[in-house]
Amino acid sequence: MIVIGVIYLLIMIMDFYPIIKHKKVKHLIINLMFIIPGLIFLFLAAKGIIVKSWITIIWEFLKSLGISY
Amino acid sequence: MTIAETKISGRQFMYSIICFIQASAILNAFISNITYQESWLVVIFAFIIFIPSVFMYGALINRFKDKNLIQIVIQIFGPILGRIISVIYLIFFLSITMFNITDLTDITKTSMLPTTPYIILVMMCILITAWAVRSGLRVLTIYSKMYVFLASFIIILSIIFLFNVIEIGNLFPIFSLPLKKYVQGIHILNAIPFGELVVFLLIAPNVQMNKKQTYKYFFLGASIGAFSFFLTVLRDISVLGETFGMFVFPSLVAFRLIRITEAITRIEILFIVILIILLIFKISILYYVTVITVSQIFNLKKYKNIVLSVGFFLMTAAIVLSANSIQHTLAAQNGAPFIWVTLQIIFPFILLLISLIFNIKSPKEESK
Repeated sequence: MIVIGVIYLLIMIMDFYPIIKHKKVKHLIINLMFIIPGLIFLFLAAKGIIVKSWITIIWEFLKSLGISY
Repeated sequence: MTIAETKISGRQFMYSIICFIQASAILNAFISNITYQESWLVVIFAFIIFIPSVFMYGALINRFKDKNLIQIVIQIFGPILGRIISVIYLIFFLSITMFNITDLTDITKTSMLPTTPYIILVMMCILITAWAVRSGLRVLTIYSKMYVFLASFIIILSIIFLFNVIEIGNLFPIFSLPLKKYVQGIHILNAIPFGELVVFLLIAPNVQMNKKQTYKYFFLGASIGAFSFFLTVLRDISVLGETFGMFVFPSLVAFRLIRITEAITRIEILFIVILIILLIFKISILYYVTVITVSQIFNLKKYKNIVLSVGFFLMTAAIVLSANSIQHTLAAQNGAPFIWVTLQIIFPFILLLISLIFNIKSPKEESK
């Protein structure tokens, strides 16, 4: 697991290198937009916390409105 | 302007559509415990109802020849409202990618690698698909033809091998369920897998085909895909009978019943391998579409630099947000069809209607 994690991290760093080298701020912000929530999810996964997906939340909302099978 | 500059042929596009639907054949559990042994009938009705949507997608592609769905939305609704709607589409694409990753890892874990941690399987899946996505659309779809033939061969082979346990009587009686069940079954199938073909609206600008070919390839792809889906459901019901609705993966159980001789049994590994190939293909397409959507929303010229970070998000979200296939099935049966169909069928229809009423076309079409 650690080996695969390190491989993923290395590829990600390789991907980040041209972004930082060419100072592509927009690319960096977009990358962080996905990495930060990803890290939060990873933390939750490590703690064993399962979060309700938005589909389940909307489904419950629709059910309360009577829109359900 | 399209972000991905590579072009694929119309035939590759068609084979990709077939592959995409064949990958969903495993998901027949969505309807199996709703319409039971009549599910084969529901597949037929669902596809007949879906046919106008295929032509609607074709019309939208032809009207905006060099634009993908996100670009069409932004052109029609303007940069602000268009981007807000695009974000909703992005959440939708992220969700279906996430669900398919969960399905793939679940089936791999239950059938082949029971002791491997879930996170490793998800990580491997993301690494392979990210590699494919970074290579571009041409590489992504190049083997679609081979996958289609391989999957069709396995389906036909399984029917031949299961011939001794097939009971035609299992397919009957028909029309014995309440009307609501048929409506629910058709609604689910129109959302998953047929409605998911909306993702091909993001690939269409990169396909070399004329107006006639657009309809031809889209329709042929959807029809052949639907036919193999129908064959899979028909095989599973005729083999499993009343127990069809009891399993999370009915096809897997049907394959386990194959006994060629006393020595050659348990050949479900064949099915699992082809299923993994098809699901990897489907996830790659969904992942690619998600990345293209992000690039389009933020007006990026290249998409390759964001592939891995989107993958990282998908990986962690798949672990935390969608726990397992059972939860996926429950969401797909009850909540998702209402939300999905809005984005897959109703909204593209509104786009087409507005473009027809106000005569909005892509600049290329207007200059003709």
